[in-house]
Amino acid sequence: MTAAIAGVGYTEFSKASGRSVLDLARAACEAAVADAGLPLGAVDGIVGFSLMHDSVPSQAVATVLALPQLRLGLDVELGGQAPCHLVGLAASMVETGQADHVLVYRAMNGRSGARVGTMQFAGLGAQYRYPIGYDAYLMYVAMWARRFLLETGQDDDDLGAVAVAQRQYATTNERAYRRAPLTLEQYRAEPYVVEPFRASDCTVEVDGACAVLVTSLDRARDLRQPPAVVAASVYRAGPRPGLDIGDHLLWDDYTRNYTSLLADELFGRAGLEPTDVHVAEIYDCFSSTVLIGLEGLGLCERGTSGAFVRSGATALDGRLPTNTHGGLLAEGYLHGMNTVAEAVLQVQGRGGDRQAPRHDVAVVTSGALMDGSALLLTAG
Amino acid sequence: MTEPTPPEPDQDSASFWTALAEHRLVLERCTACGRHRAAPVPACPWCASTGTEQVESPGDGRVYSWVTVHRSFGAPFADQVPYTIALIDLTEGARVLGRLEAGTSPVHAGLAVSARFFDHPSWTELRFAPAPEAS
Repeated sequence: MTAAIAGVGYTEFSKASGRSVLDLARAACEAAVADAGLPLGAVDGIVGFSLMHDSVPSQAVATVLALPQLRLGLDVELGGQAPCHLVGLAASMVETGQADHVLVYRAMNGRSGARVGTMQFAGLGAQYRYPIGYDAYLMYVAMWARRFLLETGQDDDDLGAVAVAQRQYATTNERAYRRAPLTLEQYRAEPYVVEPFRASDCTVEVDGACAVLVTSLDRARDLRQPPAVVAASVYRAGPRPGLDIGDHLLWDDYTRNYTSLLADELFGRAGLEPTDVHVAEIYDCFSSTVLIGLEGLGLCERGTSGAFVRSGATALDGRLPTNTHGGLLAEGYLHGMNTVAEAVLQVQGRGGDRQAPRHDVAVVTSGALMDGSALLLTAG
Repeated sequence: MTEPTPPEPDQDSASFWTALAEHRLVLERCTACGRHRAAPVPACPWCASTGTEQVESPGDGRVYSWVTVHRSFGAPFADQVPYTIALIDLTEGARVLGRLEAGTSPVHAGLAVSARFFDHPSWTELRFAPAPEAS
Protein backbone atom coordinates (compact mmCIF):
# COMPACT_ATOMS: atom_id res chain seq x y z
CA MET A 1 0.00 0.00 0.00
CA THR A 2 1.23 3.48 -0.83
CA ALA A 3 0.61 6.50 1.37
CA ALA A 4 -0.37 10.00 0.32
CA ILE A 5 -1.07 13.37 1.81
CA ALA A 6 -4.71 14.29 1.32
CA GLY A 7 -5.08 17.63 3.05
CA VAL A 8 -3.30 20.57 4.62
CA GLY A 9 -4.43 22.96 7.35
CA TYR A 10 -3.10 26.25 8.61
CA THR A 11 -3.95 28.87 11.14
CA GLU A 12 -3.01 32.48 10.54
CA PHE A 13 0.68 33.21 11.16
CA SER A 14 0.92 36.20 13.46
CA LYS A 15 3.02 38.11 15.95
CA ALA A 16 0.63 37.37 18.81
CA SER A 17 -2.11 34.81 18.26
CA GLY A 18 -3.94 35.55 21.49
CA ARG A 19 -4.83 31.85 21.53
CA SER A 20 -3.47 28.83 23.36
CA VAL A 21 -1.11 26.47 21.58
CA LEU A 22 -3.74 23.76 22.01
CA ASP A 23 -6.30 25.91 20.22
CA LEU A 24 -3.85 26.57 17.39
CA ALA A 25 -3.08 22.84 17.07
CA ARG A 26 -6.77 22.01 17.11
CA ALA A 27 -7.61 24.59 14.45
CA ALA A 28 -4.84 23.54 12.03
CA CYS A 29 -5.67 19.84 12.46
CA GLU A 30 -9.38 20.46 11.97
CA ALA A 31 -8.59 22.49 8.84
CA ALA A 32 -6.43 19.70 7.39
CA VAL A 33 -9.17 17.13 7.90
CA ALA A 34 -11.79 19.46 6.39
CA ASP A 35 -9.46 20.17 3.46
CA ALA A 36 -9.34 16.45 2.73
CA GLY A 37 -13.09 16.24 2.99
CA LEU A 38 -13.09 13.72 5.83
CA PRO A 39 -15.20 13.63 8.98
CA LEU A 40 -13.08 14.41 12.05
CA GLY A 41 -13.92 11.06 13.61
CA ALA A 42 -12.05 9.24 10.84
CA VAL A 43 -8.73 10.43 12.24
CA ASP A 44 -7.02 7.66 14.18
CA GLY A 45 -3.47 8.93 14.44
CA ILE A 46 -1.85 12.14 15.62
CA VAL A 47 1.86 12.91 15.51
CA GLY A 48 3.48 16.12 16.67
CA PHE A 49 6.83 17.53 17.69
CA SER A 50 8.13 20.16 20.05
CA LEU A 51 11.24 21.66 21.56
CA MET A 52 11.49 22.29 25.29
CA HIS A 53 7.74 21.67 25.70
CA ASP A 54 6.68 24.50 23.41
CA SER A 55 3.81 22.48 21.88
CA VAL A 56 0.96 20.36 23.20
CA PRO A 57 0.76 16.55 23.24
CA SER A 58 -1.15 14.49 20.70
CA GLN A 59 -3.52 13.19 23.37
CA ALA A 60 -4.65 16.76 24.11
CA VAL A 61 -5.31 17.35 20.44
CA ALA A 62 -7.26 14.08 20.21
CA THR A 63 -9.31 15.22 23.19
CA VAL A 64 -10.33 18.58 21.75
CA LEU A 65 -11.00 17.04 18.33
CA ALA A 66 -13.33 14.64 20.18
CA LEU A 67 -11.78 11.65 18.41
CA PRO A 68 -13.35 8.28 19.22
CA GLN A 69 -9.92 6.61 19.41
CA LEU A 70 -6.25 6.89 18.57
CA ARG A 71 -4.33 4.01 17.06
CA LEU A 72 -1.18 6.13 16.81
CA GLY A 73 -0.19 8.92 19.19
CA LEU A 74 3.38 10.15 19.04
CA ASP A 75 5.07 13.18 20.56
CA VAL A 76 8.62 13.74 19.48
CA GLU A 77 11.20 16.05 21.00
CA LEU A 78 12.85 17.23 17.81
CA GLY A 79 13.31 20.45 15.93
CA GLY A 80 13.27 21.17 12.24
CA GLN A 81 14.51 17.65 11.49
CA ALA A 82 11.07 16.33 12.28
CA PRO A 83 8.38 17.18 9.69
CA CYS A 84 9.44 14.96 6.76
CA HIS A 85 10.53 12.26 9.20
CA LEU A 86 7.15 12.24 10.94
CA VAL A 87 5.24 12.21 7.67
CA GLY A 88 7.37 9.22 6.71
CA LEU A 89 6.59 7.45 9.98
CA ALA A 90 2.89 8.20 9.55
CA ALA A 91 3.07 6.87 6.00
CA SER A 92 4.66 3.64 7.25
CA MET A 93 1.90 3.18 9.80
CA VAL A 94 -0.71 3.71 7.10
CA GLU A 95 1.09 1.43 4.65
CA THR A 96 1.13 -1.39 7.22
CA GLY A 97 -2.50 -0.90 8.18
CA GLN A 98 -1.76 0.23 11.71
CA ALA A 99 -3.53 3.55 11.20
CA ASP A 100 -5.79 4.94 8.49
CA HIS A 101 -5.80 8.74 8.76
CA VAL A 102 -2.89 10.38 10.56
CA LEU A 103 -2.50 14.07 11.32
CA VAL A 104 1.05 15.43 11.54
CA TYR A 105 1.17 18.89 13.06
CA ARG A 106 3.31 21.62 14.56
CA ALA A 107 1.79 24.27 16.78
CA MET A 108 3.58 27.03 18.62
CA ASN A 109 3.22 30.51 19.99
CA GLY A 110 6.69 30.84 18.57
CA ARG A 111 6.74 34.61 18.65
CA SER A 112 4.70 35.65 21.68
CA GLY A 113 5.63 32.59 23.74
CA ALA A 114 8.69 30.33 23.80
CA ARG A 115 10.97 31.36 20.91
CA VAL A 116 13.10 28.62 19.39
CA GLY A 117 15.63 31.10 17.98
CA THR A 118 16.83 32.18 21.39
CA MET A 119 15.77 29.11 23.36
CA GLN A 120 18.50 27.44 25.40
CA PHE A 121 18.38 23.74 24.60
CA ALA A 122 18.98 21.77 27.77
CA GLY A 123 21.31 18.92 26.94
CA LEU A 124 24.67 17.38 27.58
CA GLY A 125 26.37 19.87 25.28
CA ALA A 126 24.78 22.95 26.81
CA GLN A 127 27.62 23.47 29.29
CA TYR A 128 30.05 24.12 26.44
CA ARG A 129 27.86 26.69 24.66
CA TYR A 130 25.76 28.98 26.80
CA PRO A 131 28.34 30.10 29.39
CA ILE A 132 30.62 31.42 26.61
CA GLY A 133 27.94 33.36 24.71
CA TYR A 134 27.47 30.74 22.00
CA ASP A 135 23.86 30.90 22.93
CA ALA A 136 21.47 30.96 19.97
CA TYR A 137 20.77 28.41 17.25
CA LEU A 138 21.54 30.91 14.49
CA MET A 139 25.15 30.96 15.70
CA TYR A 140 25.52 27.24 15.04
CA VAL A 141 24.07 27.49 11.55
CA ALA A 142 26.19 30.59 10.94
CA MET A 143 29.28 28.60 11.96
CA TRP A 144 28.49 26.06 9.23
CA ALA A 145 27.57 28.81 6.76
CA ARG A 146 30.94 30.53 7.15
CA ARG A 147 32.90 27.37 6.44
CA PHE A 148 30.56 26.36 3.62
CA LEU A 149 30.93 29.72 1.86
CA LEU A 150 34.71 29.73 2.27
CA GLU A 151 35.25 26.20 1.07
CA THR A 152 32.87 26.40 -1.89
CA GLY A 153 34.09 29.81 -3.05
CA GLN A 154 30.86 31.65 -2.32
CA ASP A 155 30.09 34.70 -0.18
CA ASP A 156 27.50 36.91 1.52
CA ASP A 157 25.87 37.82 -1.75
CA ASP A 158 25.03 34.17 -2.32
CA LEU A 159 23.16 34.14 0.97
CA GLY A 160 21.50 37.40 -0.05
CA ALA A 161 20.40 35.87 -3.34
CA VAL A 162 18.37 33.30 -1.39
CA ALA A 163 16.73 35.94 0.79
CA VAL A 164 15.86 38.10 -2.22
CA ALA A 165 14.52 35.22 -4.35
CA GLN A 166 12.33 33.88 -1.58
CA ARG A 167 10.95 37.28 -0.64
CA GLN A 168 9.73 37.61 -4.22
CA TYR A 169 7.50 34.58 -3.69
CA ALA A 170 6.27 35.93 -0.38
CA THR A 171 4.97 39.12 -1.98
CA THR A 172 2.08 37.07 -3.40
CA ASN A 173 1.59 34.76 -0.42
CA GLU A 174 -1.12 36.07 1.85
CA ARG A 175 0.04 33.78 4.64
CA ALA A 176 3.56 35.18 4.60
CA TYR A 177 4.69 37.31 7.50
CA ARG A 178 7.35 39.21 5.53
CA ARG A 179 5.75 40.36 2.28
CA ALA A 180 7.67 43.52 1.39
CA PRO A 181 9.97 43.04 -1.61
CA LEU A 182 13.68 42.84 -0.85
CA THR A 183 16.53 43.92 -3.11
CA LEU A 184 20.13 42.80 -2.85
CA GLU A 185 21.07 46.41 -2.08
CA GLN A 186 18.65 46.49 0.84
CA TYR A 187 19.99 43.15 1.99
CA ARG A 188 23.58 44.36 1.92
CA ALA A 189 22.61 47.46 3.91
CA GLU A 190 21.25 45.40 6.81
CA PRO A 191 23.60 45.16 9.79
CA TYR A 192 24.93 41.77 10.74
CA VAL A 193 23.11 39.93 13.51
CA VAL A 194 25.63 37.11 13.77
CA GLU A 195 28.10 37.46 10.95
CA PRO A 196 27.72 36.19 8.24
CA PHE A 197 23.93 36.43 8.86
CA ARG A 198 21.81 39.55 8.57
CA ALA A 199 18.16 39.77 9.62
CA SER A 200 16.93 38.67 6.19
CA ASP A 201 19.05 35.51 6.40
CA CYS A 202 17.04 34.47 9.45
CA THR A 203 13.58 32.98 9.66
CA VAL A 204 10.86 35.14 11.12
CA GLU A 205 9.31 33.63 14.24
CA VAL A 206 5.52 33.53 14.33
CA ASP A 207 2.60 32.18 16.30
CA GLY A 208 0.61 29.58 14.41
CA ALA A 209 0.03 25.98 13.51
CA CYS A 210 0.16 23.80 10.43
CA ALA A 211 -0.95 20.23 9.84
CA VAL A 212 -1.11 17.66 7.07
CA LEU A 213 -3.29 14.56 6.79
CA VAL A 214 -1.61 11.30 5.76
CA THR A 215 -3.67 8.39 4.49
CA SER A 216 -3.45 5.66 1.89
CA LEU A 217 -3.29 6.57 -1.78
CA ASP A 218 -6.39 4.46 -2.43
CA ARG A 219 -8.42 6.36 0.13
CA ALA A 220 -6.93 9.70 -0.92
CA ARG A 221 -8.17 9.15 -4.47
CA ASP A 222 -11.74 9.25 -3.16
CA LEU A 223 -11.19 12.42 -1.16
CA ARG A 224 -11.68 16.05 -2.08
CA GLN A 225 -8.15 17.03 -3.13
CA PRO A 226 -5.77 15.37 -5.54
CA PRO A 227 -3.36 13.14 -3.59
CA ALA A 228 0.27 14.03 -3.01
CA VAL A 229 1.91 10.61 -3.05
CA VAL A 230 4.64 9.93 -0.50
CA ALA A 231 7.03 8.40 -3.02
CA ALA A 232 9.98 8.27 -0.63
CA SER A 233 10.85 9.31 2.89
CA VAL A 234 14.26 9.18 4.53
CA TYR A 235 15.69 10.35 7.85
CA ARG A 236 19.41 10.47 8.33
CA ALA A 237 21.82 11.36 11.10
CA GLY A 238 25.43 11.15 10.06
CA PRO A 239 28.24 9.80 12.23
CA ARG A 240 28.80 11.57 15.56
CA PRO A 241 25.65 13.72 15.45
CA GLY A 242 26.53 15.19 18.84
CA LEU A 243 25.22 15.25 22.38
CA ASP A 244 22.10 17.35 21.72
CA ILE A 245 20.42 19.48 19.07
CA GLY A 246 22.94 22.31 19.44
CA ASP A 247 26.11 20.24 19.71
CA HIS A 248 27.95 20.02 16.40
CA LEU A 249 31.51 19.68 17.75
CA LEU A 250 32.12 16.13 16.52
CA TRP A 251 30.88 16.74 12.97
CA ASP A 252 33.71 16.62 10.45
CA ASP A 253 32.60 18.60 7.41
CA TYR A 254 30.55 21.76 7.87
CA THR A 255 30.07 22.14 4.15
CA ARG A 256 27.84 19.07 3.94
CA ASN A 257 24.80 18.37 6.08
CA TYR A 258 22.40 15.43 6.24
CA THR A 259 21.09 16.18 2.73
CA SER A 260 24.36 14.91 1.22
CA LEU A 261 23.96 11.70 3.18
CA LEU A 262 20.36 10.86 2.37
CA ALA A 263 20.08 11.97 -1.26
CA ASP A 264 21.01 8.66 -2.89
CA GLU A 265 18.61 6.67 -0.75
CA LEU A 266 15.82 9.22 -1.18
CA PHE A 267 15.95 9.27 -4.96
CA GLY A 268 16.69 5.55 -5.15
CA ARG A 269 13.59 4.64 -3.14
CA ALA A 270 11.40 6.62 -5.53
CA GLY A 271 13.22 5.49 -8.66
CA LEU A 272 13.83 9.14 -9.51
CA GLU A 273 16.82 11.35 -10.19
CA PRO A 274 17.52 14.90 -9.00
CA THR A 275 16.91 16.05 -12.56
CA ASP A 276 13.33 14.76 -12.31
CA VAL A 277 12.44 17.24 -9.57
CA HIS A 278 10.04 20.01 -10.58
CA VAL A 279 9.69 21.86 -7.28
CA ALA A 280 11.99 22.05 -4.25
CA GLU A 281 10.99 23.11 -0.75
CA ILE A 282 14.23 23.26 1.22
CA TYR A 283 14.19 23.76 4.99
CA ASP A 284 15.45 27.27 5.61
CA CYS A 285 15.64 28.39 9.20
CA PHE A 286 18.53 30.37 7.74
CA SER A 287 19.44 31.19 4.14
CA SER A 288 22.60 29.06 4.07
CA THR A 289 20.68 25.83 4.52
CA VAL A 290 19.03 26.37 1.13
CA LEU A 291 22.41 26.53 -0.58
CA ILE A 292 23.78 23.54 1.32
CA GLY A 293 20.55 21.62 0.63
CA LEU A 294 20.47 22.36 -3.10
CA GLU A 295 24.06 21.12 -3.38
CA GLY A 296 23.59 18.23 -0.96
CA LEU A 297 20.58 16.85 -2.83
CA GLY A 298 22.43 17.10 -6.12
CA LEU A 299 20.01 19.68 -7.51
CA CYS A 300 23.02 21.76 -8.54
CA GLU A 301 26.77 21.26 -8.57
CA ARG A 302 28.88 21.87 -5.50
CA GLY A 303 29.86 25.51 -5.24
CA THR A 304 27.23 26.70 -7.71
CA SER A 305 24.13 27.06 -5.56
CA GLY A 306 24.44 30.82 -5.13
CA ALA A 307 24.88 31.32 -8.85
CA PHE A 308 21.98 28.94 -9.44
CA VAL A 309 19.68 31.07 -7.29
CA ARG A 310 21.01 34.33 -8.77
CA SER A 311 20.37 33.04 -12.30
CA GLY A 312 16.67 32.89 -11.58
CA ALA A 313 16.61 29.10 -11.65
CA THR A 314 14.67 28.96 -8.37
CA ALA A 315 12.04 31.52 -9.45
CA LEU A 316 8.59 30.54 -10.63
CA ASP A 317 9.65 30.67 -14.29
CA GLY A 318 13.01 29.05 -13.60
CA ARG A 319 14.24 25.51 -13.98
CA LEU A 320 13.52 24.59 -10.34
CA PRO A 321 11.04 26.76 -8.43
CA THR A 322 12.29 26.62 -4.84
CA ASN A 323 10.69 27.64 -1.55
CA THR A 324 7.63 28.88 -3.36
CA HIS A 325 5.94 30.08 -0.16
CA GLY A 326 8.84 32.39 0.60
CA GLY A 327 10.29 29.78 2.91
CA LEU A 328 10.59 29.98 6.63
CA LEU A 329 12.57 33.15 5.93
CA ALA A 330 9.45 34.98 4.77
CA GLU A 331 6.31 32.92 5.31
CA GLY A 332 7.24 32.28 8.91
CA TYR A 333 8.77 29.73 11.23
CA LEU A 334 6.38 26.85 11.57
CA HIS A 335 9.45 24.70 12.01
CA GLY A 336 9.26 23.25 8.53
CA MET A 337 5.75 21.85 8.80
CA ASN A 338 4.70 24.65 6.44
CA THR A 339 7.55 23.63 4.13
CA VAL A 340 5.91 20.22 3.76
CA ALA A 341 2.44 21.75 3.39
CA GLU A 342 3.66 24.04 0.59
CA ALA A 343 5.11 21.05 -1.27
CA VAL A 344 1.74 19.31 -0.97
CA LEU A 345 -0.10 22.33 -2.37
CA GLN A 346 2.36 22.53 -5.27
CA VAL A 347 2.07 18.85 -6.15
CA GLN A 348 -1.72 19.13 -5.93
CA GLY A 349 -1.65 22.12 -8.27
CA ARG A 350 -3.17 24.38 -5.64
CA GLY A 351 -0.32 26.91 -5.46
CA GLY A 352 -2.40 29.75 -6.83
CA ASP A 353 -0.29 32.73 -7.94
CA ARG A 354 2.76 30.78 -6.83
CA GLN A 355 1.96 27.56 -8.67
CA ALA A 356 4.98 26.04 -10.38
CA PRO A 357 4.14 25.24 -14.02
CA ARG A 358 5.56 21.71 -13.73
CA HIS A 359 4.65 20.08 -10.43
CA ASP A 360 4.65 16.29 -10.72
CA VAL A 361 7.64 15.80 -8.45
CA ALA A 362 8.52 17.83 -5.36
CA VAL A 363 11.39 17.33 -2.94
CA VAL A 364 11.05 18.58 0.63
CA THR A 365 13.65 18.67 3.38
CA SER A 366 13.50 19.11 7.15
CA GLY A 367 16.53 20.11 9.17
CA ALA A 368 19.69 22.14 8.95
CA LEU A 369 22.77 20.42 10.32
CA MET A 370 23.81 16.93 11.47
CA ASP A 371 20.49 15.19 11.03
CA GLY A 372 17.33 15.72 9.07
CA SER A 373 14.81 14.16 6.78
CA ALA A 374 13.36 14.49 3.31
CA LEU A 375 10.38 13.49 1.23
CA LEU A 376 9.72 13.02 -2.43
CA LEU A 377 6.09 13.80 -3.22
CA THR A 378 4.58 12.99 -6.57
CA ALA A 379 1.30 13.75 -8.28
CA GLY A 380 -1.19 10.91 -7.78
CA MET B 1 28.87 43.39 33.94
CA THR B 2 26.46 40.50 34.49
CA GLU B 3 28.24 37.19 34.87
CA PRO B 4 27.08 34.38 32.58
CA THR B 5 25.46 31.36 34.19
CA PRO B 6 28.34 28.98 34.99
CA PRO B 7 28.60 25.63 33.20
CA GLU B 8 26.96 22.71 34.96
CA PRO B 9 29.47 19.86 34.78
CA ASP B 10 28.19 16.29 34.74
CA GLN B 11 29.89 13.06 35.77
CA ASP B 12 31.55 12.77 32.37
CA SER B 13 32.68 16.36 32.04
CA ALA B 14 33.81 17.27 35.55
CA SER B 15 37.47 16.51 34.77
CA PHE B 16 37.46 18.94 31.84
CA TRP B 17 36.23 21.86 33.95
CA THR B 18 38.45 21.00 36.92
CA ALA B 19 41.50 21.06 34.67
CA LEU B 20 40.48 24.40 33.12
CA ALA B 21 40.22 25.88 36.60
CA GLU B 22 43.87 24.86 36.99
CA HIS B 23 44.65 26.52 33.64
CA ARG B 24 45.22 23.21 31.96
CA LEU B 25 43.49 21.90 28.85
CA VAL B 26 42.96 18.18 29.25
CA LEU B 27 41.68 16.03 26.39
CA GLU B 28 40.48 12.45 26.29
CA ARG B 29 42.44 10.07 24.10
CA CYS B 30 41.02 6.74 23.01
CA THR B 31 43.44 3.96 23.93
CA ALA B 32 42.07 1.79 21.10
CA CYS B 33 42.11 4.11 18.08
CA GLY B 34 44.20 6.99 19.41
CA ARG B 35 41.75 9.76 18.53
CA HIS B 36 41.37 12.76 20.82
CA ARG B 37 38.17 14.44 21.95
CA ALA B 38 37.62 17.60 23.98
CA ALA B 39 34.17 17.22 25.54
CA PRO B 40 34.50 14.07 27.67
CA VAL B 41 32.12 11.22 26.82
CA PRO B 42 31.94 7.65 28.18
CA ALA B 43 33.14 5.99 24.97
CA CYS B 44 34.97 6.87 21.79
CA PRO B 45 32.60 8.38 19.19
CA TRP B 46 34.73 6.86 16.42
CA CYS B 47 35.25 3.28 17.64
CA ALA B 48 33.02 2.89 20.75
CA SER B 49 35.94 1.80 22.90
CA THR B 50 35.65 2.75 26.56
CA GLY B 51 39.40 2.72 26.93
CA THR B 52 40.29 6.31 27.69
CA GLU B 53 43.30 8.19 28.97
CA GLN B 54 43.53 11.86 29.83
CA VAL B 55 46.25 13.83 28.13
CA GLU B 56 47.23 17.44 28.68
CA SER B 57 47.23 19.57 25.56
CA PRO B 58 49.48 22.57 24.94
CA GLY B 59 46.33 24.14 23.42
CA ASP B 60 47.66 24.91 19.95
CA GLY B 61 45.37 24.75 16.96
CA ARG B 62 43.92 26.42 13.90
CA VAL B 63 40.61 28.15 13.21
CA TYR B 64 38.16 25.91 11.30
CA SER B 65 35.25 28.39 11.29
CA TRP B 66 34.02 31.36 13.28
CA VAL B 67 31.05 33.66 13.84
CA THR B 68 31.02 37.23 15.04
CA VAL B 69 28.12 38.09 17.30
CA HIS B 70 26.92 41.64 16.69
CA ARG B 71 23.64 41.41 18.55
CA SER B 72 23.70 39.64 21.89
CA PHE B 73 21.08 37.12 22.95
CA GLY B 74 21.70 37.23 26.67
CA ALA B 75 22.25 39.99 29.20
CA PRO B 76 25.72 38.76 30.23
CA PHE B 77 27.01 39.39 26.72
CA ALA B 78 25.20 42.62 25.86
CA ASP B 79 28.16 44.84 26.67
CA GLN B 80 30.64 42.57 24.90
CA VAL B 81 29.47 42.71 21.28
CA PRO B 82 30.94 42.33 18.83
CA TYR B 83 32.69 39.17 19.94
CA THR B 84 33.89 36.17 17.96
CA ILE B 85 33.38 32.50 18.76
CA ALA B 86 35.56 30.10 16.81
CA LEU B 87 35.87 26.40 16.26
CA ILE B 88 39.46 25.41 16.79
CA ASP B 89 41.00 22.23 15.45
CA LEU B 90 43.67 21.41 18.01
CA THR B 91 46.94 19.90 16.82
CA GLU B 92 45.88 16.61 18.42
CA GLY B 93 42.78 16.54 16.18
CA ALA B 94 40.07 17.44 18.69
CA ARG B 95 37.72 20.29 17.81
CA VAL B 96 36.81 22.80 20.53
CA LEU B 97 34.77 25.99 20.84
CA GLY B 98 36.23 29.14 22.25
CA ARG B 99 35.98 32.87 22.13
CA LEU B 100 38.79 34.60 20.25
CA GLU B 101 40.27 37.26 22.46
CA ALA B 102 39.32 40.80 21.58
CA GLY B 103 41.45 42.31 18.87
CA THR B 104 41.96 39.04 16.99
CA SER B 105 41.41 40.52 13.57
CA PRO B 106 41.23 39.72 10.79
CA VAL B 107 40.22 36.13 11.41
CA HIS B 108 40.72 33.58 8.67
CA ALA B 109 40.39 29.85 8.30
CA GLY B 110 43.62 28.23 9.32
CA LEU B 111 44.68 31.07 11.63
CA ALA B 112 47.09 29.58 14.21
CA VAL B 113 45.87 30.15 17.74
CA SER B 114 46.77 29.04 21.23
CA ALA B 115 44.72 28.51 24.37
CA ARG B 116 44.12 31.19 26.99
CA PHE B 117 42.40 30.71 30.34
CA PHE B 118 39.89 33.34 31.37
CA ASP B 119 38.84 33.17 35.00
CA HIS B 120 35.27 33.86 36.03
CA PRO B 121 34.39 33.98 39.75
CA SER B 122 33.46 30.28 39.90
CA TRP B 123 34.83 28.72 36.71
CA THR B 124 37.40 29.11 33.99
CA GLU B 125 36.63 29.67 30.32
CA LEU B 126 38.79 28.35 27.49
CA ARG B 127 39.60 31.12 25.03
CA PHE B 128 42.04 31.49 22.18
CA ALA B 129 44.43 34.15 20.90
CA PRO B 130 46.62 34.24 17.81
CA ALA B 131 49.72 32.13 18.32
CA PRO B 132 52.87 34.25 18.69
CA GLU B 133 54.46 32.70 15.59
CA ALA B 134 51.34 33.34 13.53
CA SER B 135 51.95 37.04 12.94
